[in-house]
This record gives sequence, structure tokens and C-alpha cells, in this order.
Amino acid sequence: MSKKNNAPETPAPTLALSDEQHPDYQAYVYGDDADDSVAEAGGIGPDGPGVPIPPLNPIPDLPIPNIPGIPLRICSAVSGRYKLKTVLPPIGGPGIPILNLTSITVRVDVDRFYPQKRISIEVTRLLPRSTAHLIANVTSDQCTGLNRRKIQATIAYREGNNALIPGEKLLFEASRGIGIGYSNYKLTVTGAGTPTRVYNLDFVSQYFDDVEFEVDKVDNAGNPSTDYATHSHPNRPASLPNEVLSLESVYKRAGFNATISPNSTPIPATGAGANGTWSDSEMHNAMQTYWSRFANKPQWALWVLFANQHDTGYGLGGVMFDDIGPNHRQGTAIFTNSFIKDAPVGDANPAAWRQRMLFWTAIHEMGHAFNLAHSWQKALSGPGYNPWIPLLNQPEARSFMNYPYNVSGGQSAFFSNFDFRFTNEELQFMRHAPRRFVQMGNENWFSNHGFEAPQPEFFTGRYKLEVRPNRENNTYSFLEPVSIELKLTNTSAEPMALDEHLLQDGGHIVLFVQKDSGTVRKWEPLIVRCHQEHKSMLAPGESIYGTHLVSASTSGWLIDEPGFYNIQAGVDMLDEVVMSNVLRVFVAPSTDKEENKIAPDYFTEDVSRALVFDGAPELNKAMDTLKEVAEKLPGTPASLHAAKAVAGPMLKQYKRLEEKDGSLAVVAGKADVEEAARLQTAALLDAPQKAADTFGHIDYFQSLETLADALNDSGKKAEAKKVMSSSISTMKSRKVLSEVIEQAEAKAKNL
Amino acid sequence: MIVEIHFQEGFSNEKAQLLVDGEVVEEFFLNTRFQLGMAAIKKVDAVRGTKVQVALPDRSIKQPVPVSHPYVKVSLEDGKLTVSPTDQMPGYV
Ligand SMILES: [Zn+2]
Repeated sequence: MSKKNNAPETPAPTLALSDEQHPDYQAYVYGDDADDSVAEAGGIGPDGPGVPIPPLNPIPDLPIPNIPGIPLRICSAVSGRYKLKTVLPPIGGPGIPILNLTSITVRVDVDRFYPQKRISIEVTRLLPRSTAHLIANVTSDQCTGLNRRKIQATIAYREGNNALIPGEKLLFEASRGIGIGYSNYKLTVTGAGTPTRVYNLDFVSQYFDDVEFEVDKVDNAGNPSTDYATHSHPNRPASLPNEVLSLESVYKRAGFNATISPNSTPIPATGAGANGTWSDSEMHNAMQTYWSRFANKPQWALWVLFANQHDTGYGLGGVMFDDIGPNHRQGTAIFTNSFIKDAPVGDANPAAWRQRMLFWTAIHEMGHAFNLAHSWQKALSGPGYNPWIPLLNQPEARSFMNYPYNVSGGQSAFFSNFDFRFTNEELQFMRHAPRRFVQMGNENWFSNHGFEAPQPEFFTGRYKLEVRPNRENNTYSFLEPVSIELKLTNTSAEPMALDEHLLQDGGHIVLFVQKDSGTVRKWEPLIVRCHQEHKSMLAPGESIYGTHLVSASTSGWLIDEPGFYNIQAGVDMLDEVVMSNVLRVFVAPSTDKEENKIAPDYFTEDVSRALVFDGAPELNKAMDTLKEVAEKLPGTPASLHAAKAVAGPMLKQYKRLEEKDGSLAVVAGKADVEEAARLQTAALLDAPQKAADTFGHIDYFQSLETLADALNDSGKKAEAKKVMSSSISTMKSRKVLSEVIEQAEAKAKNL
Repeated sequence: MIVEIHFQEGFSNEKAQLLVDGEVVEEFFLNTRFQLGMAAIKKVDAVRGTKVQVALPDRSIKQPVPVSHPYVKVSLEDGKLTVSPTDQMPGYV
């Protein structure tokens, strides 16, 4: 049976073409045509009328026979997203993992669809939070053997903290291992005056980012199709491949792993209110109600609504309506009862024309959600709306972002020449601009230094880490060492195996201290307690604790003058770094002349060591300073710390190296428990609440236990019991965990 | 007939007035919404011979608007108003 109608004959459309079937897809690069001087990086794009897309190499069928003696120089595609190779600690090692607080994402864009000849790198350091972004122009791309690819690029754009990845030139190498495919990926960053850095990478995806679209239709929108068969309308470029395009396929070719959410919901027309047409805020409400992934946060997800008509009327075909609230660009709408259904009088195939315009409009609105401006507005700038890099207006561009009816020759000129793609400039933005410019719901928030709330996407939600002072207020007095407590809680529904000393040993945690909004300094613990890793199960809701004196680090005192300080910690859980809240503390100015006099001797490395180690007899000057603090500043928190440290060595048979007859010998110091007990009792028990405040629970109660043990060992059982009973009553008044109290009671009983 | 005046590109918190036969009939602020390339649509009921004008008082600009066509597109470019009448309903996406 033959069928004729007025429409020109069009071959039955195939389904969506696979990547390899599409003429614009570059699957291979050959040694022969390996480009040693990519002068026109980005190639020619559809920026104006009549610009042809250069034909690309035909794709050979693999396997390619290897002719003996002739080296095979063919390299398959490498475009896509890479990340820094995960480095795991050696199995059976000491159990201290390599704390990797920096993530690196590399986007290589040299082949597959519409290659832009760019390599962009995103560096995110978690703690203290800092980011860097760079884009490099490819200068050479060589295939030197079977799947051996070398791509060189020069950095042309930088944003953020350059110190995270200094340099000027990049070399990206992909090579085979034992198999035929690529298995090694390496990025080398070089520059004058900067050490060469080599990063081993893992291939993540052929796409630059993942994105999910949820398409919801209002029940009176006419259930429009979201596909378009490219040959259904006769007015098209002669070279346009015959295929069915979808919302996903267009965005996949733009570089995104686009998927459609299965959670589509029909939306009642009543959502548009009494007038039956949609306002922006009605759509925003509908988005919050019906979009399964709605959240007021940046995410690679977008809501696409097909509705009947906007309040503006028939003249509005679609809108990225979401410039409401704190997170923009999350929602777009297309209106089926609008001018976009008005095929020109006498059009060869009005139905296909309408479907093409609907499809074009949907991609256009979604493009706005990726932060793309209209083609004629690219250079537009003003307060708060600058282009990301200097751009030229492209009023004749054959892009999804141009109005077809506004180009010279109108819509028919536009579609005769439109390849259903974005321009190179648009693709460069979407693929390589700092991701927050592009990601839906994101804003131009930026902080180059300092502290920020952790970004939720970094975390699995299994743990919560808290930094707290373990006292009522966050104010410390001058000279008072700042001790903070770390608390890690299992917030998952499953028991978690973890090292119970994780927070205490200093090797698994990172901590940063920032004075006001000034420089962030890393805290390095003066003690790293080495211990056999001992995993135990932490039930859901249970916590482990650790305490650290953060005033002093191996690099010196971090908190040594009055003012505000920010403290933030991270703990390495091997597969994720869990970050804490930011604790803000205030150090009050000195109120005493004596304090200022002692300060220069006090804020020394030796004093910090003596404080952390509970006394250090070999550091004579430091111990003298602490004695002075204990005696001359009585009642101050600093004096309590000083007294405890001064007494510490006297509590035990302290061993030290002494010169004797010209050689060194280990000499046991004299234990003077009586004097030590006097000093420590005064420091710890005269005002127990004040002492517990300044030492923190863990240190305070441990110190009392040590004191009780020393007294007990020297036969002062009654005094030991007194210490423990005071400890227990302080614990009770400060609502310490019952199991800790029970342990202390058991100990007191056994004295 | 009803003339639709489409204020399109170039407006940023711009005070504007619509005048009919010299009288200000409406005063409003214009802000171009970039995602549409449009700031506002105003309708004027004008018989032939009616004098319609658009004014930007802060710039001392006053420009006549022809009432010969059902639609008039108005944009602000380099400090000047461009006014283009058309029979084609301007569409926005
Ligand atoms: Zn638009």
C-alpha cells in the first residue's frame, strides 16, 4: 500500500542514534591526524548563518587488524570526567590513613560530541575550605600508539585559590595497561617557579556532570511529546542526521549525563488558581509540591513543567520562572497554549513545525536553568549580572538560546540552518565554567578563605562531628589554654565499626584555627598517641569523644591573644571526611598587669609542651614559668593548668636523662606525691566546677583518676577515695554519661 | 484599537510613564527580566489621532508611540529609546 500526502516524503525516523552512529561524534583520534597545533581550539560553531560543521573522520569498525611492522596509532576517545585516584593506606600498616582533604575533578574535552579543546580542573580542599578552578586551552593532542594519548594545554582561566594548583601548563596522558583499553590516566601540572605536580586520575564518566530532569505535565496541557524527529519537518539542514531527539539526548551531547526522573506526577489544573493561568509563584508552589527532588539547595536537578498558559498570556511560550527565593534556576515551564503553536500560514508540515517549536522551547528554558543567557544578551553586564568571561553578543547564532524569529530571514532561515545544538561558547560555559555558575539552585556564593558550613554533597550522612567547648560559654580568659571536645555520633541506622581512639590519637583528625577572619592555621597535635587500631562497634545514636588542647600546635601558639577565634575539625573515616560545625570562641583581654608580664615567657613552645604533657622536668625554664603562673595568678584558669603541669612529674617516678661522670644515664626522679597532691588538689578540687570547665570533662576526670591512683599507690587510701568521691559528685552535677559514672564508682570501691 | 506596548531590553529599575494626549495615565518601574528579554506589557486604548507617548523622566526622554500597529516594541539602548511598531505579536520564551 502506498500513501501520499502533501507533506514532503520523509524517511521513517530511526530511534535515537547511538553516539557512534552520529556523524558529530568523534570516537577515535589517529596518529596521522593527531593535532600538534590546535590553533582553533573549539572548532567552528553555529555562531552565525551558513557556518558549516566540519566533517569528522568516519568511524572504523573495531577490531582493527594490527599490521606487523606498522605501529598502530589509534586512540579512542578520552573526553569526560576524571577524579584524583583514591589512595588507600597500606594494608596491615600502622592504621594511620593518608588524610586526603583535597578532591580534584578534571574535565577533558577533546573528542566525542562537539569537542571544545579544553581541559578544566576543579580543586576543592575540605578543610579549611578553599576551592580553585582553572580552564586550559589544548595546544596539542597526540596519539603516539594504540591508546596512547598525550594532550598538552595552557591555562587560560583561573578562579579561586591559585595556591591549590599552581602552574601554567598541563599534560594529560592516557595509556594502556595490559589490556587494549586505557587504564592509566595522569595529569602533570608545570610552571615556572612551581614544583611539577603529578596527579594520577581515575576515569569517572564520559560526561562532565550528571543531571536529572523531572518532567511534570498539567492535566490540561495536552500531554505533549518531549521528543522530536529531526526529519519530520522539511526545512532543515541537508546534513542533519535522521533521528529522534529527546531532552536527554540534547543535554547528553552538551556533556551531561542527563536522565529523566521516574517520579513524574500529573498536576491538576487547579494549581493555576481561579484564573486558570499560571503565575510564577503558582509554578514555584507547584514545584515545591510536585517535584520529588525539590530542595532549597544547589543540585544537578531540574523541574520541567508543561502547562497550558501563563498569566502573561498567549505571548509567553515558556519561562525559567525560578528567580524566586534563595536558590534560583531550579524550575522551568513550557506553555502549550501559546504562540509557539502558531505554525506560519502555508507551512509544509504544521504539526511537525509545532512539535519542533515545543521541543526547541523546552530545551531553551532548560538552558536558562543552566544559566545560559539569550544569544543577543551574551555581553550584557551590570551590577550583579556580568558574563563569566567577556563574551560577544551572537544575534545570528543558530542556538537553542536564540529566538528563531529574530534572526535575519526569520524562523525559516533559522531552522534551515539549525543543528539542534548549543554554540561552542555555550558548551564551554556549561562544561568548564566554575560549577556553581552552572549548577541549578546554586548561587554566586564564594569564600576564598575561611570557614564555611560543609557542603552536604560531600557527606554520606552516616556521622556527625561536633566541636564544643564543654562548658556553658565560649569565653576564655587570657593565658587560659583552650581545650575543645570532639564528639562523633553514628547518625546512621546501622552499627558502625570504628576505632574507638579515633578522636583521641591526633592522627585521624584535622583541626584548623582562624583568628577573627584572618589566616587559617592548621593545628598539629603535640602528642600523637600511637596505639594498635582497635575497631569496636558504635551503635546508632552512640558517640565517641576526644579532647585536645588547641591553643598550641607544633608550629607554635595558635591562640595567644585576645579576640574571636573560629575552630573547625574534620575526622578521616577513610571513605569520607566528616566535618564539624565551626566553633567560635572568644579570648578575653588581660585584666592583670602580671599576666601581661608573664605572657612573653608563657607563649613559648616549651610551655605548650609542658602543659600538654602534664609537666616536663627537662624543660626547666618552662616549668619555672608555669610555677610563676600558678603562684602569681591564683584563681585564674591558667593557674589551674599550670599547677597541674607543675605537679604532674611529682606524681610519678619520673625518668629523665642526666649527665653523670661525662655520660648520660637514665635517672628516676623523686616522686613527691604529697607536694603534688597538695598542688593538684588545690587546682582540681578547690573549685571543681571551674576546674572542670577549663580542663574539659575528659582531661579533668582523667587527671583526678591519675591523682587518686598516685595517692593510693603511696598508701594514702583515704585521700584517694576522697578524690574519687569528689570526682563522682562533679560528674553527677555535670550530667556525665551514666556508664562513665559507674566506672568511676567501681574504681572508688576497689581502692 | 488596543495597542500593546512591549517594554523589552535595557531597563533596570527605570521609572517610566505612559502619556495619552499629554496626560500621564500610568507611571511604573521597568526591569527587564533577562530570561525573557521583556520588562512589561502595557495596553493603551487608542483611537486614530490619539497621541501616545512613553517617557523616562529620570533621563528626560519622551518618545511618541505610533498607534498604527497592534504591537509596539520599546527598548532602551545606549541611553536612547528605540520604538518599533509591528503586526506580529511579540513572543517570549
Ligand atoms: Zn529565553
